[in-house]
Amino acid sequence: MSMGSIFHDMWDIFVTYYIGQGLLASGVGYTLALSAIAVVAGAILGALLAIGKMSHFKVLKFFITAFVEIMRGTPALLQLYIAYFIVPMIFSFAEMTPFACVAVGLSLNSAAYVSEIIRSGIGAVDKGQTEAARALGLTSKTTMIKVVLPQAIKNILPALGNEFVTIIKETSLASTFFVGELMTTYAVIKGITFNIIPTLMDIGIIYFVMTFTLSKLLGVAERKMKEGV
Amino acid sequence: MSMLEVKNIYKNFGSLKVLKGVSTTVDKGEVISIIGASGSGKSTLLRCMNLLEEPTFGEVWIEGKLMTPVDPYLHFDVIRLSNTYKKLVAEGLDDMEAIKKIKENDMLLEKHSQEGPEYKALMQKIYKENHIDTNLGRRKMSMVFQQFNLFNNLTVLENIMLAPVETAKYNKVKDLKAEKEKIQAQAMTLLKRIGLEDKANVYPSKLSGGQKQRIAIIRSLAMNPDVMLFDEPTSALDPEMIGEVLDLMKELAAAGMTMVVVTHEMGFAREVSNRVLFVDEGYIKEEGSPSQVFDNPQDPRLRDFLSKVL
Repeated sequence: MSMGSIFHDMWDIFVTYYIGQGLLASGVGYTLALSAIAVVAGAILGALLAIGKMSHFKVLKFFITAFVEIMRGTPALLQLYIAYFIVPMIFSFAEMTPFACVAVGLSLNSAAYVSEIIRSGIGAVDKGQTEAARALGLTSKTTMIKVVLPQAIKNILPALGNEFVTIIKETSLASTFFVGELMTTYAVIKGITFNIIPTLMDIGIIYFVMTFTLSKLLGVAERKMKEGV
Repeated sequence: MSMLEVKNIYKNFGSLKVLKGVSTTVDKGEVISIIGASGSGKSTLLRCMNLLEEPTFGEVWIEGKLMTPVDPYLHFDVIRLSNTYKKLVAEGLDDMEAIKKIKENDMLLEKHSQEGPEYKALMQKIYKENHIDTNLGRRKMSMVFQQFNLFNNLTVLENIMLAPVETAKYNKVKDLKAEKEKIQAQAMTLLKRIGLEDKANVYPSKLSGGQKQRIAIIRSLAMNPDVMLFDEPTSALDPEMIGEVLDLMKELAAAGMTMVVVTHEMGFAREVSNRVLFVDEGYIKEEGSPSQVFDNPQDPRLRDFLSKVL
């Protein structure tokens, strides 16, 4: 098989299946939806975990640390498998689709990473800033809101953007459960054409366009934010 | 009544004993310089005064109000009223020995319920009358840091206004808008006083070290504090900027501000302060007027120190 014919097949498959059958729209749609859910839910949960870990409740701190370490220390695919089987058991009253199960799994995984991003972002703010605020008689809450968090956000947002990019790639694991995101289209097209390599190359290009565009957009946002101050 | 008083302050960091029983009082209008070698505990002493470091043992009083927690162990008068203390003294221990023994062996909490009404009444009374919330206490004694610590996310004007405005909010001031205008006017007056009114809307990253420190000083001043604590305010400055900061501090001293200054500037200590404390190995080894301390030092370690720095 010559290089020329691979490019030809790539184009063919792209036009016939990704455009013609609408697999591009549905695949990218599901991938972005999963990523967006995981990032937003992960950010909210991650923030709660970070706050919990900064509290003085030792038991709470222990459980959060254990959760974060387990999520970071085990494969995401394994976590998705567990979510896939456990989530329907927990939410037995509701109809949990594979998409919903995978979304829960990815959100929890992302929460663990985001909580560490937030914690280190807050930790990176100079201790002197807190001391100066407390020495002026501000409460710890006011200090957090008016002085520490505004500075921490500048450390957190770029890392959170990177987490978004990582999550987009991570969603490919969801194809194991056939939820219809971009990587699932590989199984679909392979089943029809038996033409593996051009299909994989197409998918690779689509992933790359998504993550590269997002990185560039985040870069612009980051520069804008730096100019702000 | 003294403005600020620390009684028998001990501070341990883990097994490291930094302060080993320091007591001193600061009267209204006094300028006190704390001198000593690096690592002698002088900065820790200053930071214990506003509880940025919580003393391991000992009391901090601001204008007759106790700022350290009302813990029976931290309040010597309470310990003195306890039956345990009376027993120990009857056995022949002196005052401080008895107090230390009770504290170290946690003897008071065990017998807490058995203590007499006198003891309980004093605990109640102290709580009601004498205790002051840490944050309220800190608003009476603002601090200036070696590293300036201006808030990087706020402009110069916002830096100065933040604490007074938040304090007004804590105090539930009715007309917050009018109060803010008042605070802003005061902040601008302070900025004019140091000739930096054109920097009001600039972020700290655009300022020189000397400018930052002078703004940090007026930020403290904007709280209308009764005492100002300075933690080596010129140590992080380029030599050519030290003068402008010291001049501002001299101006404050001349205006009658009560100040406690940890400093390596012996010239300033000699010229401006009423009293000099020499801190060494966790103790105040010598204290007195500048002329006593500098011209007629008694402690051998002080003589040694002065011979190195003068």
